[in-house]
Amino acid sequence: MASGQSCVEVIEAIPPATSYATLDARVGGSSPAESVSVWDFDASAIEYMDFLCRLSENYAGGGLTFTLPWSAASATSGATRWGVAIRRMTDDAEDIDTAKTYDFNEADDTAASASGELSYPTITFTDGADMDSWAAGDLAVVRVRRNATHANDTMTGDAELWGVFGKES
Amino acid sequence: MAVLSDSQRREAWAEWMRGRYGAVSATKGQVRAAVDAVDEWVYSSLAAFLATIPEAARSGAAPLVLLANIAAIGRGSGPADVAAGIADRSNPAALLEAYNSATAWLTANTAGLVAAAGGVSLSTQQLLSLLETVCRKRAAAEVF
Repeated sequence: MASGQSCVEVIEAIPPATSYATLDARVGGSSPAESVSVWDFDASAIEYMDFLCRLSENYAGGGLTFTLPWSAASATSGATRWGVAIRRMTDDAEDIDTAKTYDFNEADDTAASASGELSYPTITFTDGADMDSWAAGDLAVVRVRRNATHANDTMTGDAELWGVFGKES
Repeated sequence: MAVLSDSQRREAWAEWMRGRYGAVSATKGQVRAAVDAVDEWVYSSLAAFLATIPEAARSGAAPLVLLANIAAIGRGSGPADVAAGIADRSNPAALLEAYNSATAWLTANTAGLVAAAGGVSLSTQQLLSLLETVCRKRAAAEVF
């Protein structure tokens, strides 16, 4: 697969059992108004959202780049610190019943100048251990978090995640 | 009389940030500083506030609930019946007097609240919502 091509198929968005981002609707300004489903990530506590994903058979080992389109609920300044981690569900090896320590790659992203505008930060993974050795054709839990207690996370109010996309770097 | 504890102020800060009060250009740190300033302002202003409201409304959490409601009215989001002047059908005169005197007091002291917040990038309406949040937290935590 060529670099830059989409290779992560999002099968389902699944809130974890606790500390999950809450489902909300961002109402637009048109008539009739748009009502976009978003996940609200709190400004004072770390919250998570899981995405069950499959890595395309065409993935060629170039590493992954995730894009996290988001808007601010009310803020027009400050930064949000986003993180992505991967749990590969290896054939006959990885047991979802056992605890996994997620290893997050993170990036700071400044809020758009208007709270209804989107920003598109990216978070990259090198092929191999950095992406939990996720192999083509396998499922994985891709966990997204807002690291709200990190010093670099300065934005007030919720961060609204619109989705997650993954492509080969 | 006391101020909120650090953890109670943190809770008020977190609760306020979950609300929607229009575009906010202040950062989390600035909003937290504003929470501290508003709580200190309530602490230092409460005696003067009590002196202006009817004696029947001065005990326990009542003044803080009253101030919170007045702040909500001040930012344009008060209860519809109160905003319309229908405060309490069973005793409208006394309660209406409390709301009227409290409204007059907050109107006269809003500039002091803005000054106490020290230039944080929040609108007056957002500062009033912060005052409402702090007063409700103080009332719930029985910090009065």
